[in-house]
Amino acid sequence: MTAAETDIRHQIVALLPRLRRFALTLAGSRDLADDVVQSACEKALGRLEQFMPGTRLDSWMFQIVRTTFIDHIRRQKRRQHDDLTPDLVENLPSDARIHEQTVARADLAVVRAEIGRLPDEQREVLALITVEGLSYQDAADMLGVPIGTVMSRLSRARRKLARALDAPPARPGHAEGLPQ
Amino acid sequence: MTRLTDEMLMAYADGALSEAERAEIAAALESDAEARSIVAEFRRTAEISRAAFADVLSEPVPDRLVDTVLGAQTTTTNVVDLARTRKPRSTMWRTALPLAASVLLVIGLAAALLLRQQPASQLIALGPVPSATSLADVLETKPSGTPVALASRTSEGVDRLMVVATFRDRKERICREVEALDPSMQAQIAGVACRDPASGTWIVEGSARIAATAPPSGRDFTPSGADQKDALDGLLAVLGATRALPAEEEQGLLARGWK
Repeated sequence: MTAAETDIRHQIVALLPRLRRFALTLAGSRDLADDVVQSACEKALGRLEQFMPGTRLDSWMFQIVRTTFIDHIRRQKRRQHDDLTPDLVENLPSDARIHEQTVARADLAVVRAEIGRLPDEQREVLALITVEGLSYQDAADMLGVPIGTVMSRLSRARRKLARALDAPPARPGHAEGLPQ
Repeated sequence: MTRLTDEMLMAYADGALSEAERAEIAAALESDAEARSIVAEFRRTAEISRAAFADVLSEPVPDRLVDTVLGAQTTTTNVVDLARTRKPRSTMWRTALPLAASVLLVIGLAAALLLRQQPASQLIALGPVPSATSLADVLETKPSGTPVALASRTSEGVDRLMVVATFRDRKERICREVEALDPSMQAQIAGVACRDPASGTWIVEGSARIAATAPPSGRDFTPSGADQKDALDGLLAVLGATRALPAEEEQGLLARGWK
């Protein structure tokens, strides 16, 4: 193992908390998220030479976590044709109350469940941009779609989320482009 | 007149616009209460989405994931003579081990596994050190030999943290050996944390319960947790720790934020 490789491994260890969060946002359950992160790390280590030094390791790892998750879901779909909505409410965090003030009106489990109900392509931009803090452009590059597409998916995801959480109604018909 | 799309209002709420675009939308918002409420809604969805998953970041990462990423440490190693340059007090649980490098490496590998299976304490938990903790503060801002009091005493009887030595590992990262002390200044737990130069995050690479027992008076201390002590030495060997930095060099690094 070269010094550079050992160094990347340590950087990946430092990223693990964020990779787990990203996987949890996508997958909705902790066990599945950790399985996804584990196989994503195995994949990444098997192709470390493909990582371009000087580019963002976090984006690279997020991308691998994402494709690993998609592969996993595809395999599951082939195996069982029932509903794949993950059980989002089972793993309510024990220290959720820390955030009580921030989320006074919406229980965290409900928020997670509603995020879990978003279409996959909307949930992944929400995970990458809103939760993980990537820029619109970085997310667009990673997903291989135009930035406009990313922004439109993200804004639809968030308006849908707000409606689902019973946000105060804002500008009726705006999202659908109806006349004012 | 600017037509305010959802995407524009979202970018405004997310702070993703250039200054000119931001000013243009801010002006348009002044006369558009509905658009303002949409901006507020975008801010709120960002906040609750982050809050919904925030707890994951402060959870300990499962060992199996760390093991997967670190794999087998197969780098060659030098014999550690850090002991001679450490602060004298730490010699109570450590003896110089003039062993062949390969032997130390084997100890180190066993040590890394042992340490991960038996985290000595949440106080010096393996993995990235969360910011705004006493441990982060001590590692980032305190010179070696300066104890810092904890807000409260832990179940292990520890009430202060102290860095005992700073060194560079073979990758030139800054690493610091830190001890958790009881009120009589005896080390209960020791750990090694290295600073990731890119992110500035300290990462605990290993920790061990020391549990040195005070011997009958007139004699030196005797370590009771022999294998954990060896484990920590093994870890230092794996990291390639060779010598502690002199106080002046440590002081300079501290002053420059470890750059």
